[in-house]
Amino acid sequence: MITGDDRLAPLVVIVDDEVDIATYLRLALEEHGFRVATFSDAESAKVALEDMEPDAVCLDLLMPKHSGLSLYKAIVEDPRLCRCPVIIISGLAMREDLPGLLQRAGDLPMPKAFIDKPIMIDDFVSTINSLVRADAGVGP
Amino acid sequence: MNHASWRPLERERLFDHVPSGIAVMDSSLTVVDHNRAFAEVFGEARGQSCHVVIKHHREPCANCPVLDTFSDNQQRVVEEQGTDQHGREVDYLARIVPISGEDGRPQVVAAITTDLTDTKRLQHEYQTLFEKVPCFVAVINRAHRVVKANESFRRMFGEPTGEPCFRLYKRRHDACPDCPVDRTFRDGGSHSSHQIGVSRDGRSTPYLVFTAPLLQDDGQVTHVIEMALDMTEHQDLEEQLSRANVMRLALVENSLDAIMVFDEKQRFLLLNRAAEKLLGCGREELIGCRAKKGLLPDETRSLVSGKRRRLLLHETLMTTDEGEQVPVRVAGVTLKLDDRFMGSAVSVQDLRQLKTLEREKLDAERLGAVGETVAGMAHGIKNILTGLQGGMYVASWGMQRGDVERIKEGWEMLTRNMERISELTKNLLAFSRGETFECTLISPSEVVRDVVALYRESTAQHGIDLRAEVDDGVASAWMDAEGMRGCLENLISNAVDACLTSDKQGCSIVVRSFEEDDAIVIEVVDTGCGMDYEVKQKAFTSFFTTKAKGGTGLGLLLTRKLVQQHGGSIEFVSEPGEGTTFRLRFPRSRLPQPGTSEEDHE
Repeated sequence: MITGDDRLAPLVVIVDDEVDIATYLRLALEEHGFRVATFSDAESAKVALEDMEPDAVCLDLLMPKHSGLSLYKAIVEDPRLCRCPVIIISGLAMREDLPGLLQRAGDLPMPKAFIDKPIMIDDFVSTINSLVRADAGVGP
Repeated sequence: MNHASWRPLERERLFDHVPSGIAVMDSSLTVVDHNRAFAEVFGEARGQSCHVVIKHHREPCANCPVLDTFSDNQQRVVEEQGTDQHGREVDYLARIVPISGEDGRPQVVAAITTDLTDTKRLQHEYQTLFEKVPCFVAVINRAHRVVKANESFRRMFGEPTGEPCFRLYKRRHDACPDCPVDRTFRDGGSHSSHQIGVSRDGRSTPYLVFTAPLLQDDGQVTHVIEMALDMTEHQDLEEQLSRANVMRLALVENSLDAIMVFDEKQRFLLLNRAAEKLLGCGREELIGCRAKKGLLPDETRSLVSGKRRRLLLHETLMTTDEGEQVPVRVAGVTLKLDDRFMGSAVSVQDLRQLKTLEREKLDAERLGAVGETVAGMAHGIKNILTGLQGGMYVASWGMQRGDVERIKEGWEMLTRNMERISELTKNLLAFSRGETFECTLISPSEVVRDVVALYRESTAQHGIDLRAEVDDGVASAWMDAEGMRGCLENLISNAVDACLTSDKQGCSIVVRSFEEDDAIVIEVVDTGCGMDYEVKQKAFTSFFTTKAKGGTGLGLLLTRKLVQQHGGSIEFVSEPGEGTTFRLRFPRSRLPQPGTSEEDHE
């Protein structure tokens, strides 16, 4: 379900199995004028993304069934979505672990941003702002 | 019978009864008469030429001794070879005797033959034996000169040219001081001795020498026959054997395992240094004595007495003379020669050092796990912190706007994450301190059945089919019942989550227990969501959880710890979308011994 009042506002997709974290990020983004769609697993997000044109996707790395990396891979390889900026949020991996993880997952490119948990909400919102409001068409 | 009446009749009979063959030839070499013995060999011959009868030749022989006797009227003895009436070669000695008429000239010549065929055959056999015997045989005269030698001798030393034996065998210039040939010449007896010769290539060669006298009719020793056997190969083999023996003894003596050999009467025959150390007795006290009761594990008695062929005890206890209980591994085999019981060999491995190493390994693993735990803790806490941040954010958002629903939502988020951190701390303490590890004799299958019964109702409510498939043949074992229960609860709880997360309907969980290769095996098999690569990599990482609400990520870590405390191992296979199988394997030989507690084992 997409939340947010302004239909013209940028749409951010949040995929995190931690319901509390998803709620936290959703409320923060809504407060800053974004529309938000939250998903608790990669598989349902992947299905929903087929009918969406998000302006940014925030992805947790480790989730049940399929990991965030598999969804990231799907986005990168989808010609329709590959330009959408992706922000990886993780408490599991450190920033320096990321290149290795991406390489093992199939030589995936670095995401537009990486945000470590716990999340400094102002930094998070300004990262999203800068990505969504920067030149459209630069991604992921 | 008077002289006159005897003469014609008896002379004729005598002619026929003489064992030698007699033939009488005229000057044209025609056989005019012969006796029965001659006919037995050459057949009826009267009226035929002697060369036709005896030699099967049409023409007279080149040096015919009969013609020679006709010519010189002299007796002669010749050795001839002919062919009998059956075509076989016949060796014979013939005395050619002229029988003169009144004019003094021979009218007929008689050939009196003695069959030499058997003598010749014997001679040939002796000659072959002399030639072919596989040692050096020489006939030596009183001057030490070799007058005759066999093939082996000639091949080694060349044709005998009258050289003295000491020069041929030893490259000496004078007779040897202990010459066995001289002894035989002196006392006429046979002798044997070991001699060292020098071969043609200058190599020192050991010989075993036999001498025997060759006696003349008058009992005089004219020659000595000497047989010399080259012992080089024999000596090499002896050396190899003794080297092998030295090596074997060194191996046995220096083995780290105690090695003991018993004879058929169960007495110590051999024991090495390690055995002396283990038994606390010197070999001088033990060899020739039976092992006292209690010195060796009881099970070895049946082997040492020959009642069983082999023995392998992976782990048992031995009591040292100081009363210390030592864990040991015992292997033994009976020694048999042609199915006859000769004794037994037992090797005992002291497992004390191995046990210490195993414990150190477990400790190292635990320390490693603690390291992982610290790293994992940071990650786990990050998630909870973010949840707490979220709660505060939502609550303060609600307070700023007077939105009670939001305040409530934020408060719930705070409470939930506080609970998580409290649960996590509790598990962390359990892991770091170690829970009570108290072993009793339990039935593993019974534990499986109990835990499955506990979960059956709640799983059924979620549409999950949980069942136990236990083999009642699994024998009881010394295990920590509570710990085992905890392990199974953990694994079943994970399997339930995997089933709930799966998109499939009607998932199932099967918990099996059975025995395999002397190990107790427990399997938890689910048809739930399975794990992908990243999840599998992190399965045994502390604080890793895929449970959205409340997993602490310590369950599998605690399970692994307990399995390892039982000397067992844990492994799993998983396919995303297909399910996961966790397999716990407890080799019976590594299970805790009766009376093991936390302190003993940790």
